Amino acid sequence: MVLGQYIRYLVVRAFQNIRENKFLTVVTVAVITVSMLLFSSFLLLYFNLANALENWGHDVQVSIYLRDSVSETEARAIMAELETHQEVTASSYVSKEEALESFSRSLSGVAGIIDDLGTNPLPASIELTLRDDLADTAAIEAFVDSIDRQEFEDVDWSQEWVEKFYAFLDLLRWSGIVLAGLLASASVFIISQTIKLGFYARRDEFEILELVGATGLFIRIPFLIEGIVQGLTGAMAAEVLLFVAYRIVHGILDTGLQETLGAISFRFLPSSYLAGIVLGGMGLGLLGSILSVRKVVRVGAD
Amino acid sequence: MIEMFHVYKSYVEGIDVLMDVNLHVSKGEFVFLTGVSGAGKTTLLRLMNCTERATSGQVLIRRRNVARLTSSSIPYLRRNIGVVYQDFKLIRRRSVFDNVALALEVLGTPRAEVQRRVMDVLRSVGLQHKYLQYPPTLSGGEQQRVAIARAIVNDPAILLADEPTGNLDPDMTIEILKLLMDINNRGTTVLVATHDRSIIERLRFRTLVLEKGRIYH
Repeated sequence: MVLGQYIRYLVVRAFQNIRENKFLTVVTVAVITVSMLLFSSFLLLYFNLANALENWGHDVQVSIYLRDSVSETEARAIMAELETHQEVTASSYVSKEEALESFSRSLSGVAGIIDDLGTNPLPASIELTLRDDLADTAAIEAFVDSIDRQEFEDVDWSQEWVEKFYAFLDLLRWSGIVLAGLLASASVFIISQTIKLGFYARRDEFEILELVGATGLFIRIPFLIEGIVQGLTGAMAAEVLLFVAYRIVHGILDTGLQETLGAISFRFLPSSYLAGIVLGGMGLGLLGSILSVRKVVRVGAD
Repeated sequence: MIEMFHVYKSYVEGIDVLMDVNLHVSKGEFVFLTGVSGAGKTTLLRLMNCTERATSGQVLIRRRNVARLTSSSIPYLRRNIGVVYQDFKLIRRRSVFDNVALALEVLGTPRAEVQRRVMDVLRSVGLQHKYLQYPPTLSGGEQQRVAIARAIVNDPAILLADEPTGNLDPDMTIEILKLLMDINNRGTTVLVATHDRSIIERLRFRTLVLEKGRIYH
């Protein structure tokens, strides 16, 4: 009963504070919105790139170029053996002629030059498709090393490209962490400062509350609630803005880039991420107010 | 009810604001505390409601040694002590009702009871019709009555008043003193600090004189 009453008074006072300090509240919410928007845009970018990589990762292909001395029969025997490896899900044989044909098709301009050579310079190859969950450079590399043999001229699995992409994604992840850290500290600082300004505007009230026997918690909790409400509002505003921006960008991608990017789709953040952003905003608000309340209100201390 | 033994208080080392103060205020008593400005009246009251702690000596409120209280238990002691100041200390942006209700809200009193008790106490100070007004729209005497209402709404055992009539004209002064005597008649121990000799001479209650930090009975 008493606890219920306390909660009611504390919540009412928190909202009274917000009403009486509209300007400061708007400033704080705007700061949280901007930092959460920056961070969540970054998260959206990272999320989509990681998704894209996963899609491409599914299609990791290993091309084994065979020496000209290897006959098709021998090649098919090697292929059958390779298929027994659990990493391999599919394989196909591309003869020298087929390689030439596809090369000429994809680069029509140079077809004449190859004709002039009189011989077919392209090697026959075995194309392997690797298991989905092998989308990790170290695992692919280990597999490729394990199958190498004399008959192979070269083994290529676009290693450089995948590694670069992973490195880029790593860089993105670390920049994201650093960015999140910077934005969070800046937000916490600004929230604590604005809440502190709110405190100074209400100093008289604290003295009076102490006078009538309010405990430290009774004085502090409304400010913590205020911080949480501001964080929640800021984070939700950021998500709404992010969604609007996403719709606009998505529209542009739909008409243009989508064709080029093929199967890769630009998706909005899943609900678990959105919930995380909201919780993060509330956490920032709470942390900001805890820091300022701790410094300003010292009830019962001499 | 209030006892002090060999109490010293200094804010700066070597300069004592209070020196060897010994006093005893019994339950239900009405006592004046007088002395010129700067004699230490306010400091003495601040020791009584635990806003300050004595540098040395013992302060007992309702037989509890306040030096032994932890910071977190001080609010609970304060709930037994109503305080009234010369400058009223009302929250300007809260209504009369809300200002008085504050003293009950910190106790977690149910809303309906807050409503009833605040209106009762406002009636007793003659301000029930102004409960929706804000402090700046009230006269000094009315603001002081709101402050008194807030101080007594939770039936404290002790009421401390620091120059409660300092900002008021003579008519208002009499009105406020009558109110304080009424409260005393209902059993509350009242201690009024004032430098106004005319009040003290008129009412003839026990008077403690504070001079240069020392008490003379």
